[in-house]
Amino acid sequence: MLSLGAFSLFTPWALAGFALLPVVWWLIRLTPTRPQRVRFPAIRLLAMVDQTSASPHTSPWWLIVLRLTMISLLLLAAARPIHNPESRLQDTGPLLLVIDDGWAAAKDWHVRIQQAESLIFQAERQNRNVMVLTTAPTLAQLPPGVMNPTEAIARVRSLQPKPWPVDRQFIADQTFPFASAGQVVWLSDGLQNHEDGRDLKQALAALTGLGPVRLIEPVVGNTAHAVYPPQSRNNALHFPVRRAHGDGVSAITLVAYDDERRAIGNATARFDEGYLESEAVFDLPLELRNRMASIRIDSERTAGGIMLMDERWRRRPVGVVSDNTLADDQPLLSDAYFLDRALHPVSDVFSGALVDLLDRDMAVLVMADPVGLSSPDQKKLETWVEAGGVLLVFAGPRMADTSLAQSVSKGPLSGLLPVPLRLGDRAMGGAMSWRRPAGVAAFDANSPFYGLAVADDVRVRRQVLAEPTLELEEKTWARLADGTPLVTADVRGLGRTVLFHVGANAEWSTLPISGLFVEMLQRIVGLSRGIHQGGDNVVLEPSLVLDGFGSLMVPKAGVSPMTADDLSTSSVSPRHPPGFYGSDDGVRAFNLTASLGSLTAIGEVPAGIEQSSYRQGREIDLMPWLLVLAMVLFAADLMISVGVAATLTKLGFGNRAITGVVVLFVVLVAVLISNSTEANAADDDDFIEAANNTRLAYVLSGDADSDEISRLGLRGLSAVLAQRTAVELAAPAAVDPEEDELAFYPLIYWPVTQYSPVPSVEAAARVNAFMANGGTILFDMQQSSAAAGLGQLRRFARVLDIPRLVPIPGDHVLTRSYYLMNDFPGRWAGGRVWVVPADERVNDGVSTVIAGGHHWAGAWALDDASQPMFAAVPGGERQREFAFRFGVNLVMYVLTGNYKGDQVHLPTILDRLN
Amino acid sequence: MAPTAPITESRQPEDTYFRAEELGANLPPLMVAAERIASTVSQGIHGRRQVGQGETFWQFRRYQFGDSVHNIDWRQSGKSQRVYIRQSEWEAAQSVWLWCDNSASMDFASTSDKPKKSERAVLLALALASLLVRGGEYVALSGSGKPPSNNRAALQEMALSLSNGTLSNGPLSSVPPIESLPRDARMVLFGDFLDDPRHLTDTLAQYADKGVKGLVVRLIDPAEEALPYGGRVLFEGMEGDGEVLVEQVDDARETYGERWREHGARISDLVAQAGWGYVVHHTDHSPEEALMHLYLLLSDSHVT
Repeated sequence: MLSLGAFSLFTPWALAGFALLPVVWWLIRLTPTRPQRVRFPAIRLLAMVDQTSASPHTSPWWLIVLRLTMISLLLLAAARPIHNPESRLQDTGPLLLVIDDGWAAAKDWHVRIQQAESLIFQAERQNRNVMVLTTAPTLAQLPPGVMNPTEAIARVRSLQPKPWPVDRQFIADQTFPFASAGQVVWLSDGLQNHEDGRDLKQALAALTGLGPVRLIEPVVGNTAHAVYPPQSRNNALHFPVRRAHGDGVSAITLVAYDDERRAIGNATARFDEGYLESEAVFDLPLELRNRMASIRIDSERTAGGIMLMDERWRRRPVGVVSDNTLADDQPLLSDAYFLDRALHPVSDVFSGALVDLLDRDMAVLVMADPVGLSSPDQKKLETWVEAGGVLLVFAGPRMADTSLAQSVSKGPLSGLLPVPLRLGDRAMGGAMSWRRPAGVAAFDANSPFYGLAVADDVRVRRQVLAEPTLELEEKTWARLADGTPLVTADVRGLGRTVLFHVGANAEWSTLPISGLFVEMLQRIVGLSRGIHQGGDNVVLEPSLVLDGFGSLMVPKAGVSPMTADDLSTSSVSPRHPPGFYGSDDGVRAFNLTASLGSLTAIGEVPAGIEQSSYRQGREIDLMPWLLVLAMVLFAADLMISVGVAATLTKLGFGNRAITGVVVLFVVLVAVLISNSTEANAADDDDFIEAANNTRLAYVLSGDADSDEISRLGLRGLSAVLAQRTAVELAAPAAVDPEEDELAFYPLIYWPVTQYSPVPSVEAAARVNAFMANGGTILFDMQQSSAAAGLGQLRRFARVLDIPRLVPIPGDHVLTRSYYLMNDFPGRWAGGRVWVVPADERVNDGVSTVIAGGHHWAGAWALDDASQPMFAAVPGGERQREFAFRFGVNLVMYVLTGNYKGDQVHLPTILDRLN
Repeated sequence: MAPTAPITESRQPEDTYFRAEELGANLPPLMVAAERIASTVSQGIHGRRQVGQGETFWQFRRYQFGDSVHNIDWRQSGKSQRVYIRQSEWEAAQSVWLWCDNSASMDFASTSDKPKKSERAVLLALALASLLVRGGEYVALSGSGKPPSNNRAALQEMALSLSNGTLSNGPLSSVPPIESLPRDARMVLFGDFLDDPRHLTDTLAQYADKGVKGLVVRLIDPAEEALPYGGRVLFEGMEGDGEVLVEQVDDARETYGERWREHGARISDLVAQAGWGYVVHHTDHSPEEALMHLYLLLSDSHVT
């Protein structure tokens, strides 16, 4: 076999036939063509012409070329040229196909199957049998057998990637039904299962005994990526992302979805040269973050490229009840200060009056040293707890105060405490006591704090005491070294109440300034909503499981329930595929990557093993095409020599005309080829098209998803404008200031994130000219915490002529250019909108720049069915309506300038006219 | 084919007729030069403009018994005591006979935009006839068996028989029939004369015996002259006269050209020896040109 780039010749010796071409040429030249028949009156004169001196007849040159081409094509066809050739199988004997069908193979799965099919077809041509071996374990491992190629094709086509890793060890243990295979081909996923690759080595060693082994891997950088369980830092979730090859710089986009598969955010992980690990940071508003159900790698559909999220990663809102701003100037004495510091890393802390907090949706309410409650407040609090809230109460001097004892033991709050309290408090290690301050005892196994390390330095000096009752033991979560309860809890309805028998500040104990305090609070917050006490031993039924491509589906038979304990310790297997386990009132996510180590590429393999990579596309046998072409030429030859030439001559065209036809054909082909170069002329058409219609434009961000949102957003806004106003806009245009002329657009929507590239000098000049000539740019930082985008906008301002921006004044024309409105929500509400201060002399008073972080395009984006694509939070559809109103006002403002601004003076004018 | 198309001849006899009329309309009526008016006493129309000579008058003769009363010239008779009848000599009138070769070799046009030689021959013959009739001459088709006439009805009849090829001399004759023509009649022969020139010699000799003179119009398709073919060509004769395979036409062209010129020279010599007029017409040239040539030759007494 002879390879020439993308082509190879199967029987190259057939090309030797080309040596005969000159002979053929000579023959064709001399072989008389069928004479042209002509009726001719002066035949008598012609018969007198002496022909002996005439030169021998030769065929016309175009006929010779045609026939030589035809013969060349036949010779080429005989050489069996193959485009995109598959390397040939060696030897004889059965083909052993080892297919990795673990999670990592789901990426480019069709390429693997295509390759397998192509190999099996080859085996079919060579009359080999095939044995297919898959490496991922299954529930019922089929005994691999030798199949004929037809069965093998069916088998391969029915394969699906599995959402768990491969087990190559089993290949080494496999006993094969034949002593030697003609060829072993391993379609691998390119990853090692163990970091040292020993299972692969063993398997390869076992296979090498059977016959020549070819190991096919994905090309470098094309192996699967994996997302790992996130870390929560600084209010953001950090998702580690890993790759198997450290070569090159690459970026992976992760998209967060809610439980209805709506995208609610995305983040990008950038791999630097040489790094195998990177991080994608999701910094989403709390409401959105709590709706995250899964994080997926956008470009890959594998079980490893998906991270299922459950309650564990949701930040829960915690309300700290504080009556007043007492002791704000002395934070270290304030209960709220310690609580806030301890709770902040894992939850969102709100403080305020009880009534206000109850109005909002809180998972945990913390009351430090409460006194009395009004009766309606108590009612509300009780209802809230019974509906699933967690009430956390800290003791304090007021609770222990005997003068107030009445209200504590019998008052409104008493019903909400887990245990009845004795009057007064107990002090240890004081001046009047010989007992030393007490430490904390190790936690019981049934306590939610079980497993936390007890710090030795925690000392309790004062506490309130519980009345000894029968249930006290059961209700105690933590106790002091001497056995007195430190934390007690009780279940009320769906919720629970928890009492710390010490204060929340450092006055009574050192607990609030220890790390233990933080962990205990985290556990308590973690208990809220959904996760029950003793949950570790509850058996969780599989609810939805992932398939190999990362889609959630109803579990198949054979998937077993597992306890919450198992969830955190065991790794995925056919019996326990990744997915959601549990029932409606609380599911736990079971992720493949939780038990998956780092990704390692296969790298070096033992000598003697042929390594290659997956081919793109099938191999194409060119022989039939060449034969068809030769047949077409043959038909043309027939037509020309029999009919066409005669007709042409009869019509008065001589050889010159035939030459003309050939030249015309060549010119036609040349024109067709050169057509592609004529695209340059299209530029002017673009300009005309752009200038003929008014349209909005958006700046390409470089991220396809974001661009699509911009496009759909502007399209949605254009549709609303057409519906409600006289403004009829054409489809929005995508512009790249680096390349495109901007002068055609009245308004340009420019999404700015921290990754947006700062425009180059040329682009900046273009943008400046655009603004100087009356264009308006809407910069959208797209995040409610627009800090990152704002920083980037500042960098923009260094190259662009962006004037000083001020928060939009209440009487700005934007508030009344069409609708009357006061604030300008987008997908997010709140936040400021910035404009250039109005100056009537410049640009008709229209602000050249409007900036905000409301992600307006997200709110405007309508899909093809005119349904909104993203939720507007927190205001829902009403907020979306206001977002559209802002859009209408904005376009009106941009198109009509300060026209509505004049209305401001209307009362004065009317006054004067009087 | 539209009848108004300027160059193309029509295959419909009526169309050919109109076309021929149209062709002749641009020329003044043709009067054939009467060479021997004195000797033949044939007045015909030729003395018409001379004082004292009647149109068909020959002589007055004393009335004799048996003469038709219709023939008595009463005006003459009134001048004297005798009764005269008026006599004319009909047979001695100058007449022009036309002949078209309608053999298979005439049925040839090298390309479809050129007329066939036979079509062009018929067109020219009819146009000539039309001119002659307008000039008052007597015209007849050789071989038609009809006497010469000078009216338009006869002209249309001629058009019909020429176009249909229903002449008595048969469809495939390339030699004019030898028929008894009046002395000193004129003959116009249209043909390609590709046969052996001896046939033409014989014909002309026989006409010369009778004192008949005239014109030979040789029609040539340009392809016959230039041989515009290439490569290997099998030429078929059109009158069952065999096939010739030429291996390389380009090489044979020159020799053929010589033969062609020799042949043309022989025809030309023959005609000149017989004292006839000779006209060569290529079918790709305009028929008006040929007609003008014929007109000049026929009206010029010195040439004939």
